[in-house]
Amino acid sequence: MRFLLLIALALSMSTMARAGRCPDYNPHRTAHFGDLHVHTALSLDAATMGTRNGPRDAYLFARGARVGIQPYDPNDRPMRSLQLKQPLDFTSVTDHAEMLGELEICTDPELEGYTSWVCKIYRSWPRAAFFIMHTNAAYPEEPTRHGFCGDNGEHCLKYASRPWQRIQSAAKKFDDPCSFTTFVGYEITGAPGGKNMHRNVIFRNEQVQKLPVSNFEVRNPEEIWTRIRNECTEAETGCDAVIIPHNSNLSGGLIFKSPATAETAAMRASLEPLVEVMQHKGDSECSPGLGSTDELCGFEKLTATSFMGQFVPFLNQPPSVGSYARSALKTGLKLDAELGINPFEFGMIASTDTHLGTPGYVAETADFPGHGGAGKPARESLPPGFVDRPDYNPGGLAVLWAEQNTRESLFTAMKRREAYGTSGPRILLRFFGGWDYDADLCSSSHLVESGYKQGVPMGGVLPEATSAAPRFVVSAMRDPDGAALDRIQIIKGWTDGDALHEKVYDIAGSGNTSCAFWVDPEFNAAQHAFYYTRVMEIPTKRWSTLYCEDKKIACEEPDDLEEDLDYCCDADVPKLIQERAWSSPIWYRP
Amino acid sequence: MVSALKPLLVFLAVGGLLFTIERQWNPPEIETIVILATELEEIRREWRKQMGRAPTESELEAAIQTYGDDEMLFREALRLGWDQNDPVIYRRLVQNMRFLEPELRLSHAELYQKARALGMHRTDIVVRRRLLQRARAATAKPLPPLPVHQAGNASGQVHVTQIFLSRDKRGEALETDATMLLEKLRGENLAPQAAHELSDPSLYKPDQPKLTERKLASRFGQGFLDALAGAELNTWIGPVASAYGLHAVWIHERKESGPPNVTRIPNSPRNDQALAAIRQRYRVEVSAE
Repeated sequence: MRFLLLIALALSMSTMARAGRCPDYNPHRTAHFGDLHVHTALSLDAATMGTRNGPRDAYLFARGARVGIQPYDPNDRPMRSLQLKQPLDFTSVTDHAEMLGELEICTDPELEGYTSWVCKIYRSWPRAAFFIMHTNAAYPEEPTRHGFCGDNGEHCLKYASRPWQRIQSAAKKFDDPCSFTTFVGYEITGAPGGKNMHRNVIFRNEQVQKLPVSNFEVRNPEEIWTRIRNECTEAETGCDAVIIPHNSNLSGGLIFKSPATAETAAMRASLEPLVEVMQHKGDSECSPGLGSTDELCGFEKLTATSFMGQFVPFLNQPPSVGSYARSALKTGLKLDAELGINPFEFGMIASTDTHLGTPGYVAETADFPGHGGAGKPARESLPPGFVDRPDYNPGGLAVLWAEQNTRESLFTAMKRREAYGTSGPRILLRFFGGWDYDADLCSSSHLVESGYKQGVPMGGVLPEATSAAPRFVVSAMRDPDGAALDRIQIIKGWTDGDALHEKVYDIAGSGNTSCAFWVDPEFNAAQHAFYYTRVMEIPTKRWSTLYCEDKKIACEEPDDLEEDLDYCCDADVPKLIQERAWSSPIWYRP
Repeated sequence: MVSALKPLLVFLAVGGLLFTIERQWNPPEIETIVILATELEEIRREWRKQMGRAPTESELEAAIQTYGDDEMLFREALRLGWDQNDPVIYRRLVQNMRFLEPELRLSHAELYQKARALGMHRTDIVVRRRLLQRARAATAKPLPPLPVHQAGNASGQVHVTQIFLSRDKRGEALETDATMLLEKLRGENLAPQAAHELSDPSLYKPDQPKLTERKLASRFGQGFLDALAGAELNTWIGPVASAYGLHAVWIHERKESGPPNVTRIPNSPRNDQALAAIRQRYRVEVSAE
């Protein structure tokens, strides 16, 4: 009998082991490409721009389905449609938390509030509703809900639960372990005074908050972190979440404002392990002239420096140091030295921020479908000339190194920051740091195994020193459908007393694949430092250039150009794009 | 049986005769749709908006025809009284009145009648769209529908071992090296496991897990995948080119793709015959003014 029990136990254990592992489980981890910033018709700005795709459509699209987008003809047939060449490995639909209930009320004639004047405007003049409702929700220091939401917004909060359920049920339906992962998520869209404070919340599993936190209920990042901590990460319900800030380039320096205390610094460090450095609305890695002489920072820069500045140009202030990830990484080193904790110890990813419900559509083509949110409307018909603002772009991808394609494995990768971002191409990138790597690691067939065994991957903190200077190895492969690699760089930031420094090193040249071993030649064991890698493609034509070529625009006779096509001949619109990948940093603490 | 049908046949014959006589004596009135110069400009503008260029002469003609057809269908729908029994139009007109005169304390039916008295059923854009939608559906013929949500072809699966020779590393010697590699693999009858050490270092290991064809293409390129189509299993094939260099490939297993998984929504293209019949009652004129 005991023998039989032992066999039964062994069988059940083996079944359990198998149940947790996918057939392509890789202990040394595989790169998974995805999009963690996706809006659908449940977002006010998307809906007022004519987006009809909901969360289910977005997940279908991510898995490779062809999906229609606006404008729609009078027969309700979409006049454009899109399809991914390569389906994604993971996606999170992250609709705005602010207007979930309001939109539900404004579109359901059975609900009280449907006939309110705001809802009437929403249904009759969507473009006007976008400005009225969005302005009310995002920009005031203390935003209040519209009257039809009732006392304390209870009526709108009650009906926000309906779309919130739809978001959850779509994520549940399309989550397909080992093949395609979905994450329940949402965006908190505050922009006090027009300065962007936007953050996405991504949940580990089905245990999520009862309702998303919106900008109506919180006044600053500290309140967001407290709410997420109380309602999720410390609620002992199995709930876990990461918060990912984005568009720091439009934040007027607010997103990377230094926390006042060690406690808030610790909250930020534990809840915000990643930052989105690139998307439709530009690049947020660094800015030329802001503590940097790096000429490659002049990449996909928006003309605006605050969210509101996109619509009201005179509100734009000069770019601020606090608006860029690299500056924050440097500030974090200083705060680490002062507070004993680094609030800006974050990894980097990119995503799209699509408002068309089309995640991962990052192709640089003449047919760039536009942003579908804050930019040009295409609800009734395509706008003349460029489909969207010329400084917008098709966005980037988030890449996670994980053992397998499951929520648990990918979420853990986010938490440990073993992640990188690309401006669109599927560049493959490994980055390891340690003290004892052999100089010939690039010629070894065991680079990855040694990378893990003798050091840490991207996102890690170097262990205690065992040699005079840290050693790094970077290996990259081009996107097989993209351009060749131009070079690999390491960007180092460090503190020297109160002074913050950075330096960009070119460590490998061009090729289809590239690998480099690098030892920091100026290492000072007493100084806090970070290192991240940037892999550059050779320059290629930007979507706007491809569009203008497609339209056969002749810049010799600029007076004959139709409306908005004059951008084709505008020297301020870049003709080329140098696509790239940014790794998460590896940190050194003295 | 025949005698039972007789009265019916007589009835049809007489009825048909009377109908023909009536048609001859009272031909249906021809209604004129006048397209004003401003409307013509709007048609041109709309075309430029959609297409990014001015229409050619024949394209403009087609656009005018479409514009005329829309107006014709709208009038036909009104003539048939479709605007009087449509819940969408009812709701729309009631809402319009509520918005226009919020202080009015009238029932839905009264508001609806008031809106009609103001002629809203003829001028409101949503009413127009709704009627056009119904008219188009009525003149539609059942053609194969246009896919809107069309899933990509279900991807097959393939399990390969690939021995990689790097173009960056080997340069001009790459082709020769690849030929020699394949000669060695085939000559020595090397099993995939035994060949790993012949591969140049790469982030992609020689033994790839079982992958969907799409995934394999995303790693090595579509050309690489295409080169494996129809290739023999359990033997060395190649050299197969990728973005990175050349590969000797061993296919362990291949599972063909299934039929495409397609979700469609109905389409309603116009039925030219039905439209032609209605067009006989209308004339489209382009005004010079």
